[in-house]
Amino acid sequence: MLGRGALLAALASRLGELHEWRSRPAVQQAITGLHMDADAAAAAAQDDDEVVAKIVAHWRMRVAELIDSLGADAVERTVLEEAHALAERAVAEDPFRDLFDQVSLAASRLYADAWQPPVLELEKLIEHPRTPDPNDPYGLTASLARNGEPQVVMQIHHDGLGPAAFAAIPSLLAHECVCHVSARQRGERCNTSVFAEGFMDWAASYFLTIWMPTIDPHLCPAALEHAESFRALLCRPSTPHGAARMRGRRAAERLAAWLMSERRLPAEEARVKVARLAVDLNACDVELAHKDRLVTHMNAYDYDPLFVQLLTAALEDRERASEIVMMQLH
Amino acid sequence: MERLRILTAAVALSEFTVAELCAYSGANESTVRSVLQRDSELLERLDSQEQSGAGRPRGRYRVRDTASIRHELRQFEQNIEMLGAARLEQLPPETTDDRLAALIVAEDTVVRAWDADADGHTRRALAETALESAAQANPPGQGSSATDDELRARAASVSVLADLALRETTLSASDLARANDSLSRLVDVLAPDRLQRLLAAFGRAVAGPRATAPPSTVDLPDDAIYTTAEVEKVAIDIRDRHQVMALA
Repeated sequence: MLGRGALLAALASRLGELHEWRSRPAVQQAITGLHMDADAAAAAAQDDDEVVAKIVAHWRMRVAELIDSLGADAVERTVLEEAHALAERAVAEDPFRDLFDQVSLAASRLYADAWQPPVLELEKLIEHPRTPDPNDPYGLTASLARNGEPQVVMQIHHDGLGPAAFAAIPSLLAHECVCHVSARQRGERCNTSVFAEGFMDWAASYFLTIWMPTIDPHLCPAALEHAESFRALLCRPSTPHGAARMRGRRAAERLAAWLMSERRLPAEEARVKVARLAVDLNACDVELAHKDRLVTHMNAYDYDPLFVQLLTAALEDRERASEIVMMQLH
Repeated sequence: MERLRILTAAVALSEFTVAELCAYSGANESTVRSVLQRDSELLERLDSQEQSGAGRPRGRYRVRDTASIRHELRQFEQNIEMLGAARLEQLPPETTDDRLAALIVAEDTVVRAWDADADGHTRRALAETALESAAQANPPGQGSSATDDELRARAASVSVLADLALRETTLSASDLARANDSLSRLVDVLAPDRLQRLLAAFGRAVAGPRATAPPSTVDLPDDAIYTTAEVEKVAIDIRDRHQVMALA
């Protein structure tokens, strides 16, 4: 897994194109070959350095042969040539931990004293984490466990770590770090909460957009594109988890639109305010039921005066975020 | 561009540390410090007296000139809109998928509300959430297509169950009949595991102190764990009894 990740990290700036051209036989063979070369190298090598060196050598040879077999004007020639050159830069460092450390550092600044430093655990999955689907190239998932300290557990399907899945890793880590690591909700867990899985997910997406250029400028375009595609897969209205994501995210957008239209705030300022409110609410130690009620009310067609008053106070003064969570709407 | 992002984060946060400004703007620390220094007419460091008074961490800054930053930001956003981007403040209208999602949230939340672990405040909050989400699934002025009708019927059933979960007093025989009616309508649309949770929770409520009399229409053992087949049997039983009641 490390070797495969190291090679994909080296290809970061071309992951989007490799995924886009995956139906072309040569690109498809290059991606499949990556899995085979990684398995062969892992079986033969003594240490991480040797694993990565062997994968890179085998894969570059494979890609060179594929390029030679292509016609001069084949559309996939350029992307394979670029990938061949980039692969040489692969180093035997853990790319998963590197991404995790950077996302975690950025999230820690949001939560300041409320931040609980997490650790990353990698696990292999023998099956795709969701129903296998040709339109779901994201063979990974993540969750948060608490064993004294928070543990972000990222599970990766053995054959599922391709260009798209690697590009989606930052969004997965941002979701866990922003939404769950420092969440205070009386120890409750609920993966159908509109607050925890939807409203907070919107904030995680927002932060990923602004953090990614600094975290890894090469990976940034593919990471943002695949964050969006991965999210679209997860936001299915017919499942309770997907529906919660949709409604919570919609509530965040509704609140941002309200700040723009009713409070005449510039769009970007409105988004930062919503993202900040999400962080403040997440740090309030209140049952999820109350946070879910608040988020559901944000989707209302009209905001009543009491709600506007509490909302304004929470947006103006971070110390008052808990008041709006405990409001009595009726 | 990066400067404007930092100023935007500053005006949204109003008062902040360097680390917060990094997190909310995505800029690195040296860039943030450089903007704090260069734009000192817009941003200022709080003096030590104010910091100690508020009990807040050291090294805090605040915005001096909100209006100027917003003016600059609005001009930038207007330029983007003029370049052909959609109006930034517009929220797309709700689609059928949005309404279906609202309904699924309502159905899931009413199950959580009826869950035995939920205490009084939590149950109330969840029941109110289910009611509001059901109302969002069925806003006024919807059409009469088959989808609209289905969403409307399911939202109505969820609303009855959420309304009953809100009751502080014991459930009467007519409450049970209403619940029975709503449950029978949800039998065919709720996922088996959710129906099982709802039936179990409702069974506990019926067997517990919230019921005034032994249930005549729903009779479920307390704390039972049901298999899918058993749930289906109970559900069919409820539906049959409902039909019998309707005929009577």
